[in-house]
Amino acid sequence: MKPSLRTILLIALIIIALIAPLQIATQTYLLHIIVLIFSFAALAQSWNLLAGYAGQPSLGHALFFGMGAYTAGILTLHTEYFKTNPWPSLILGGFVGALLGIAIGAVCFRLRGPYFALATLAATEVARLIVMNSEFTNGAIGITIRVPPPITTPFFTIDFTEKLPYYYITLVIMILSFYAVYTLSKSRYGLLLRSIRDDEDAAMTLGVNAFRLKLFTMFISGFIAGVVGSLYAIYISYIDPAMDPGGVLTLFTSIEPVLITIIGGAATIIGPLIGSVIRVGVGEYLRVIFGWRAGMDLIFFGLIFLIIFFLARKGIWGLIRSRIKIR
Amino acid sequence: MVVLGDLLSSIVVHGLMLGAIYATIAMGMSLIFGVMSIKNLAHGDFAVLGMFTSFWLFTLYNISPLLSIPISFALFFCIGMILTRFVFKHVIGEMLGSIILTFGLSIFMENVMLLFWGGDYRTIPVEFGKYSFGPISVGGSYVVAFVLTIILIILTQLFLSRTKIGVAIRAVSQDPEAAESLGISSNTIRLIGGGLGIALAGSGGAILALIYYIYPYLGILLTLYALIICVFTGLGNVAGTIFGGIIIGIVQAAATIQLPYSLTPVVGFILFLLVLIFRPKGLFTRG
Repeated sequence: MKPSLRTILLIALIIIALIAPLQIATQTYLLHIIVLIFSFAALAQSWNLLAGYAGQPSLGHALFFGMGAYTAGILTLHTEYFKTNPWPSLILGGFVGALLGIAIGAVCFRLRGPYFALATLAATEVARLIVMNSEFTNGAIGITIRVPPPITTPFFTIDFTEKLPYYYITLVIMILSFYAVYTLSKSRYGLLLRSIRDDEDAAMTLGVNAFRLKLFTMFISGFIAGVVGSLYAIYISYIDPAMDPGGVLTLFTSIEPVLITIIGGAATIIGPLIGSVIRVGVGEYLRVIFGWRAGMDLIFFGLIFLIIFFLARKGIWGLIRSRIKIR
Repeated sequence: MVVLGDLLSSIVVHGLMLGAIYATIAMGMSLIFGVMSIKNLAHGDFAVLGMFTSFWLFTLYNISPLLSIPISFALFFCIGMILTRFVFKHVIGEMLGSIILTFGLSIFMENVMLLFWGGDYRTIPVEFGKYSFGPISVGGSYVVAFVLTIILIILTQLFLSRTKIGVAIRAVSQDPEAAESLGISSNTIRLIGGGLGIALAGSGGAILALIYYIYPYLGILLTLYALIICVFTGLGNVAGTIFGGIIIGIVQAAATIQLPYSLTPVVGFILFLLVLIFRPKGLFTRG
């Protein structure tokens, strides 16, 4: 079988992504931005699955992300084992996110459209206020996570004070989440999700169990967001519940994947990555330029976002796609 | 017990007064949702802008904060019309689009205010004496604010129920196409409805400035309260918002007895979730 152009392109891209950081390993700031881009692309992809494909616009992804982060944080705070090896908390954080997703979904999926969005928003606020006032989670002070000790193998040593390991971890997690959403969206399941998005009542009359499908979607979406949150906490090595923007449980964090997906293009696989490059890249750039004045970068970002919103309603990938007529 | 009783009733009275102001802001949000199906996440920021308007008119030109309430009403009416004409128009009826657009607007506004005026907590240093109702004593500014709020709410209600334009606004809220077919220009009505909605936020903010701290990031909290109130009463149900506002005001105030202050909004949000789940069409609607 002859591989298609797309497959070759994809493999080439992945090889470049694997080799490229070795060339720029000394430019830690650039690597830092790329790590953030990958993390937020994965987070946005989880939102994209739920909102773009299934049509359930959650405004509460900070809950899954933040609770994933807190899983890592609480485990390292209260147990000795996780202080030296926080990595299992990635999976645990994922499951915490997924279970929360199911719980929220079971309650909130009675609601449609705007009401669903508001309910997820309220649930996140409740979680944030409780976490900020609880001793167990260190309250508003947040949790500091120690840098994981280096892992030594016979051939090389992985030093987690450097950015490079995180580059590969986030790259892998991003690729996995993109692959998962891609496979799901191309399957029968993806078709069913789109049928719910376009007309839930019609889909249900045709025998689609919308509630169960939405719950499953919430599970996957929450899992991805939880893993990313957990990893983000270990990478940044500090969990801040409150600061707005930047706090893991704030409304701003919930909106982040929404902005990224909408900028890149909802219900497209590549959209979240494009959006993330723009959101994180432009965001960091603006912060560097306007660092002297708090909030200035966000003003400009707000403006850029509004302009993009008006110029390309289907996102940047939607715009590109309509111009060059690819499927 | 007597002391606790007094404390409780004092808290309830203050909650009621604060709740009435939240209700005015929520009325504006409800109105905008009614005529345009737009959930305005920047609504609270307009209220904060109203607070700042009042603050600066007082600080710079020594204009009484009472006078700046009608001033900000007029000012924000114009702002609302401009906004409707050039911004909101593009997302009428789009649920997700409007949320995203207005959230972008909210980030923009909050940070512009932060940039120009800093993040300090400010108050307008005006005293209105103190009033006592039996054992309860209430600050004069609370009483003045409450009376003004009630006047504003009554005027808005009269406008919506007694004038031709007000009835047209309600008609467009219920069914834009039917309203169009009866010769109502829904574009004009949306312009007025949008203007009035933002004006209610701005003047509500100007009233709130009498009794509350003024700082740029207050907007998001006000937006959330307004959303809670609107959902309590059903989005688009303008008349019911006053009850929603009072409920939320009293509940929040009562929660301060048992809970630490920073945790009190939780009660409101939990109530909000319960209402959403069990009465998604609002507390005061049938079915």
